[in-house]
Amino acid sequence: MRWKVVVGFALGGLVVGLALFWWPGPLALAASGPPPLPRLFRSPDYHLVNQLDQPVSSTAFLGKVQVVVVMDPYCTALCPLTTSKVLNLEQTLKRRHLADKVQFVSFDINKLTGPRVMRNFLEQEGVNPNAHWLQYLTGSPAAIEKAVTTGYRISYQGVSEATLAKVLPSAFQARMRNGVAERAHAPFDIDHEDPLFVVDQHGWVRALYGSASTTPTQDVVSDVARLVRSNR
Amino acid sequence: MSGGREAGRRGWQRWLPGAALGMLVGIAIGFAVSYVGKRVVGAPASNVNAPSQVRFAARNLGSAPNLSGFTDQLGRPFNPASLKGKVVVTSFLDPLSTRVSPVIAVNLLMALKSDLEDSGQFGKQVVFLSIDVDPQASGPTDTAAFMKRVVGFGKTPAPVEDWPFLTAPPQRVSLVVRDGFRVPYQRLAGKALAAYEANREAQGTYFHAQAWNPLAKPDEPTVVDNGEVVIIGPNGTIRARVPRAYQVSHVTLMNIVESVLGHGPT
Repeated sequence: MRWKVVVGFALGGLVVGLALFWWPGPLALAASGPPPLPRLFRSPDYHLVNQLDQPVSSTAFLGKVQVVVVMDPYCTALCPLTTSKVLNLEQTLKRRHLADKVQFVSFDINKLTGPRVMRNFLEQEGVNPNAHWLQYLTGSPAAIEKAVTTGYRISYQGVSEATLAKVLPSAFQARMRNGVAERAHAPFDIDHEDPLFVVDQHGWVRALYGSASTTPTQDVVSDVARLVRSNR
Repeated sequence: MSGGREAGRRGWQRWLPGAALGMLVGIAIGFAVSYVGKRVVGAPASNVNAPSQVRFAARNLGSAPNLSGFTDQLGRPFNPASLKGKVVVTSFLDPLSTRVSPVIAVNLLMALKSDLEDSGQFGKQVVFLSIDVDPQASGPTDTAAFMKRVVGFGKTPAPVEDWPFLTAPPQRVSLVVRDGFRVPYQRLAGKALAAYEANREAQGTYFHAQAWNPLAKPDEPTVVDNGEVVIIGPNGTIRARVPRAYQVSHVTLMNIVESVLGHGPT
């Protein structure tokens, strides 16, 4: 009689253990609290080059959670703030032992620049351009437009400095210092949005923030942690 | 025949309590493993600063300090009674700053001002107040120039009555801002500044960008830890504290103001 109870106990535990191993959904949900992040849309496929002029394909990031932004190396409004946010996010993820599960991706939306200018911009803003945690991507204007505008639905356009000077005060954007831009004397600026996307390990956009610079670090870190935990 | 079936049923009945207990224990272990996993994979390191833990009080967070002894950007003595009955969005700015002050003043406060003007509340129910936290190196000339050249009141005059930018002797500012508002601003240079910056970088809370400010004096010490915005209610009590306001959207701040006015959810 007693051995049957013991064997029953072991078998019951085994059944539950196997069920949870193969199908952890309800348990993970119950333990983690909030529902899974919704799948908003597929992130785009692309073949571009990074700040080191190395070819990079979108498939290279599958398996990692991506934090995606856009930056113009000649920007004197939001991009330095976006870069500051990206640096702080990376550091916070490191402190939470999540950094190796995350790939930061940024698209260069200025067709006048290229890997050398992008490297100079990163260095100026405090990012080591040789480090691979941030892949700053560029390519032909058509390829960038396909990835950024068609893929991520981010609009941007070149405008003269005079036009931007009129636009910025009404856009309530403080003018930021950018030595790379000052040295370049670029004939136009890029008027653009500064959203931040969180993309899961399978290429689905799972969270979208309207402004990278005012997105609470903790919110992005929380999204990343949830995706790393669930991997789905 | 039926006796055999009966014996078989009794056999299964003996197995059932053990199986049920085993399942329960299995579920408990599963939850425990999942909980520990959650704590390990995304566990916050100790002392990670949340970027902007807005603290909002339905009633109050203490009384706002007395603002007598201050001078506005036109050099006139400030009358604290002018704030009575209004929600006061209070910021602590350095007019010579290339760090967070221009970003707070333009990206946050000017955008909020625009929304409040659209809703007809700016100046009537809500006013702004900025306090100069670098009075050692600046005065009314600098606060006025900051409003004009950095904030953007070049062509249209700055609304001094609805957005006074106050200065006072350093001791008075310290007493009001550090002790009264409990905003722990510091003025750092050299090794102390370098150590502060290294610490902030390590914590992931450093402001890496540099704002354009033609008033900046490169050799002056840098004011830090002044990025908080404090919301004072119409009765003079502090109702909300917004740390690191330079990374908060004006929409978030508008929601807080609306809540303090009693128009939104608390």
